[in-house]
Amino acid sequence: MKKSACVLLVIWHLFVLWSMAGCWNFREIRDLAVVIGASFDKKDDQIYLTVEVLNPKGGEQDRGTSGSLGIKPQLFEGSGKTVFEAVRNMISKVGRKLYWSHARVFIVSEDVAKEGIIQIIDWINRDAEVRPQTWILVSKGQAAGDILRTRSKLFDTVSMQIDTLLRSQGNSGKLLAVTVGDFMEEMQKPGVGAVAPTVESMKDEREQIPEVTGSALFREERLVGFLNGEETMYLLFLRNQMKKGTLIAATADHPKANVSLEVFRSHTIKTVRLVDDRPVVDIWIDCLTGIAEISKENDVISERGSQKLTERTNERLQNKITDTIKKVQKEYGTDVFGFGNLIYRERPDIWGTIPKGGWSKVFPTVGTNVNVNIMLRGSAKLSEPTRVGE
Amino acid sequence: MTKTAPAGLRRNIRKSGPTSTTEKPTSAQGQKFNCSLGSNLKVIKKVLQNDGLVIYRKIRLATTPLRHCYVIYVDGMVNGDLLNENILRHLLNYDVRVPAQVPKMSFSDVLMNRVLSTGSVQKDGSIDSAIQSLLYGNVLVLVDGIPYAFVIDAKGWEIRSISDPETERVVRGPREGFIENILTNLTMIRRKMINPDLKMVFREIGTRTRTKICIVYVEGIARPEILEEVYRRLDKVQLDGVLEPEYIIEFIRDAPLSLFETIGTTERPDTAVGKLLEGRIVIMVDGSPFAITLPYLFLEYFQANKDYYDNFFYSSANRLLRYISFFLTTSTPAIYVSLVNFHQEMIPTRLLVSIAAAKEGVPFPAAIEAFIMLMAFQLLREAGVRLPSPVGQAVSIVGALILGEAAVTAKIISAPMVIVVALTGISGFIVPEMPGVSFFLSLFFLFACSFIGFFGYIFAVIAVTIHITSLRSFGMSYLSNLTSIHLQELKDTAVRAPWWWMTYRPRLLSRDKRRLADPGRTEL
Repeated sequence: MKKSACVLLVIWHLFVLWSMAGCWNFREIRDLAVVIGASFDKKDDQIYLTVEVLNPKGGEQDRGTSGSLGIKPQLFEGSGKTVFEAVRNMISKVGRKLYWSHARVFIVSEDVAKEGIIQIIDWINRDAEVRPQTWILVSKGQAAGDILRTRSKLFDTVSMQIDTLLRSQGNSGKLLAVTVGDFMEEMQKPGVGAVAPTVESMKDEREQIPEVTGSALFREERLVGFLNGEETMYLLFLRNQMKKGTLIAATADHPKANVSLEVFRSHTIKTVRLVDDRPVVDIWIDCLTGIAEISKENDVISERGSQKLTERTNERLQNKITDTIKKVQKEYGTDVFGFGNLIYRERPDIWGTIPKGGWSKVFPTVGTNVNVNIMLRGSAKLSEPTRVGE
Repeated sequence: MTKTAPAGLRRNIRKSGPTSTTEKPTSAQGQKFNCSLGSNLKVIKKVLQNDGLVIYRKIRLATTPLRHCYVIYVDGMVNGDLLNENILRHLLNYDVRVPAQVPKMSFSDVLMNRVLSTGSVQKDGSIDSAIQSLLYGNVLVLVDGIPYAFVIDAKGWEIRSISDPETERVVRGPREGFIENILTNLTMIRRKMINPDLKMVFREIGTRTRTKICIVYVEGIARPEILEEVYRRLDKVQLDGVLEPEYIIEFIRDAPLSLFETIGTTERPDTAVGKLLEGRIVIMVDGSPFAITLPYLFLEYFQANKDYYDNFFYSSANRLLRYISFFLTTSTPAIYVSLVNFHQEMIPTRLLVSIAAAKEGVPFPAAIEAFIMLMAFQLLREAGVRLPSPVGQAVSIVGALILGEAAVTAKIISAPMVIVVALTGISGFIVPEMPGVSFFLSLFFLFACSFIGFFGYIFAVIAVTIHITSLRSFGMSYLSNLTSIHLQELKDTAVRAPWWWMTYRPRLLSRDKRRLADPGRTEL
């Protein structure tokens, strides 16, 4: 009797305890507006927010045409003094609560980025629903909302296209994909300038499509300039972020004949030393490549030919990388290569001599010494250059 | 055929006697046979009043002085050939006078030694127990002037033939299953273990049905403490009728209020013998093809006899599959509901959109949907079990069509929920011994999750784990094998190790722990 009373008591307590929680955080899926991407513009002190919302209802009617989900994204625009206010103002337009956990991309317009990106990014990093793993991009020369208004040809939504693209960016080697979390970390680290990829809307045939290319450079929280796709590649080399499967064009014997090399693996080592009280960074790049394409009937396969090819490529790459470093040092003055951080970590004694906040003045004077070592491995399926018959 | 154990039997009768008082006492409680055939017969006839099946055959014996005897039996319960050839004919034809050469021989000795040529003949002085034997299918012979009855074992009635056990089918392994007759069942066990250490102790349970039960164990392997505990608990059973082992199980099991079985049943003689060899005790109950096995541990839910007949890799894979399906059948609805209602960020985006599209227009929250579908599944299952198989098929087709297709089209239930419940149901059949457990657990987890998502799930799992850990079965910890740190113990848990590697029996279960006599190939 006593035992069964105990059991009843336990069951009763379980019931009460659980029901006391009262369906805390209960959300029906159908009450959510799933945000897949968002863009931030600014006009007259108002932040304009454009969100791309997945609309399962619209998808149901179009279903069955292709392998995609057949979702028709819906765009909503709203504004507010702050990002959070804009988000909350949006509810009255959307009708459902915006659900941010599935957001893939945040696009910030150039204007906002120039004014300072913290006003956007702090909310992203602080809000419980928004993930720091979301990609961040800067729209170049356009309103960020216009990017979301373009049309993706293969994907259900523009955001999904950009997301897939940035995930596989290693294959192009000209993109530096950054998540909000990494961006924040870089922004807060001493001696590093943050970088984000840029996105533009391009006309392709009759339609506007999004194109992600190049990168935007930040000094502290402000956008200071852009690098194009090729320069971004050198930036990747310098940051030791070059991944497998990237193409570099290199000239060989004939002035106009190109040889394409495919990067399999690349490793960059940076060290710092003092020359006349001026920090000099030595950069060694080891790059394992294979011949992907030879555009002219010339010999780069034989030992002599391949040696010549690698020598020329090394020299060319060294020059290009040095040019890029100089350009950034002179024009933008932001240390996106992480030289300052290198000194901070490896030579704290040097770092200590630099006055606090004075790195941006020292950075343009840092000397660099780039050494590239290209290694050739194989020549894809063909062992000979393609020859023309008599 | 059999000899009942009179000691245990009588004790039980004595004990149960006074409790079964009826308004009109017709029992011959405590009465003894006396020398008068007429008065003995009168008592028996009075007790067996209105029992049309009992047949009294009067025979005049060829003896001086003239004596009569009565052959009493229950129609349909005795072997007709045996009765006619070896009892009636001998009594009618034989000269039953005491031979002159052996004057010391008494009349009853002559009857027992020369006339009644059947396997078992016993003298019984108590009218009560004689009637008991009569009703069990024995033949009573009452002779004038002898103050006891001859109880002749001539049992023979219609029994179902031995067939493939319905509940525990195997692809490979013996095809025979227990039947309703306890004697046949015991011979099936005996045939598998030809060893004098195999002990079979009879008892009677049920003050009215007087059902025979038999406690089977292997002396030297089974632990005497457990055996004693079994006897002690059986003594306390005061039920008037026992039709199925469950009647006894609910009396003698540990944790009677727990969902989890602490006593197992099996329909297969090979399984029963396997358990005996591990040191377990088997109780057969007359009238049911299910044998009780005890102690029963949590792990036994997942051990099937076919594990031991198949290649051990395949068996181990199957066993893992059973663990997974236990997880699936208890947790799928709960996890689905938590994901959909509380943790949408954990669903991949595309799946989220699919689910959202499917749930568009469905009026109920996911928890209610899950509850409706689980109930519907149980309804279908129960309907299918009860009905004859052609009708049962019709029911399942209609049920599947209506619930699976129409309910989704009519937007009463979302399509993913049908998948979830189907998965729950199918996985539930992979561990068939625990249908009740898995159903209630899935409801419990679902309930917990419908309030606070995964937190509820974790709390519920912790509660169930605490409960399982606290269980005991006849002194054995319910999880004893799973939580063991001995390598030997773990060889028959998540995986089934090859036979030549399982050197020892379950450690706490058996007295003689060594299973392999020669550990030749034991250590790898």
